[in-house]
Amino acid sequence: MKYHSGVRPFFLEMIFVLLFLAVSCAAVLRLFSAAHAAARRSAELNAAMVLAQSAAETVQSAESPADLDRLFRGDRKTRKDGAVLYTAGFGENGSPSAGDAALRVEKSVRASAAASGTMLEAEITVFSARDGTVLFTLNAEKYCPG
Amino acid sequence: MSGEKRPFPWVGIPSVLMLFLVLCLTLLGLLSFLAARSDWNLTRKNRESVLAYYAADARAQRVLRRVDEALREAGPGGRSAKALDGLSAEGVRLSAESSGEISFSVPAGDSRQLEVAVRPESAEGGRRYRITRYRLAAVGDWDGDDRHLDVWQG
Repeated sequence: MKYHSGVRPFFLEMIFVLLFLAVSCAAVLRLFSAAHAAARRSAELNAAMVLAQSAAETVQSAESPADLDRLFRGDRKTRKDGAVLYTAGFGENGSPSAGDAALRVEKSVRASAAASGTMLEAEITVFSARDGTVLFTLNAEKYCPG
Repeated sequence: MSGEKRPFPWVGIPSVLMLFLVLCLTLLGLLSFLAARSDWNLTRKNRESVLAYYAADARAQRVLRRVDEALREAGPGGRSAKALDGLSAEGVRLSAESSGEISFSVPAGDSRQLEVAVRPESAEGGRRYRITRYRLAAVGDWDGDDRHLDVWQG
């Protein structure tokens, strides 16, 4: 009888401890999961913004519409709705990546010529290559006189 | 000693350890969540700032186009800053400076503005203007010197 009175409370306590631990861990895991999702979203948006700004500054450095082909020479060039579309893939660290790209940057550049010069209107969109969602969109314009 | 009764006989070492573990995990989870959330808020602010800057930049480029058109219409002889003084382009007022430059500023958010100045060129056939200033500046004057900073004096 003495044996039973010592062991049974211990096992009862252990059962309650494990149950409480399981419930607490479930709640804490949700907290960690939410923190991870927020951190990931933040990192993706930051990377997308850096890539979009880089593309916008590249458009800004163009002296004429003809310069764009040279400036985006590593990109895939297509035409869409009267605009020239330059597409490039990038890895998670922002380095150019053709194969397993984590981010895809599309630069849709439209040139509208006038008597005094040409206006370049670029719509830069950064997609997540994983699920194709738009992470960031930036519009940039450059006036090329002449 | 053996006859003494413990105040909580059902609470043993496993319960105490478990409570400590759960407390630590909760604290860690809460801190990481708060850090991630503040990081996300900072990223959103940065996003708004970037969008405001490039919107102002695009507007400034459209103003430059209007300035270039005006200078082209004026011809090589009439290209002067005074001719464009007070004109409005894209909702931005142009002003002539004493240095012979045309300047304008475009708001880029609540506290910043893009300041641009161009100098008309009178040479025939070449560029009609040269950009002499293109910078992002604070709207208000710096008043940090008047504020009392509560820092450690050593």
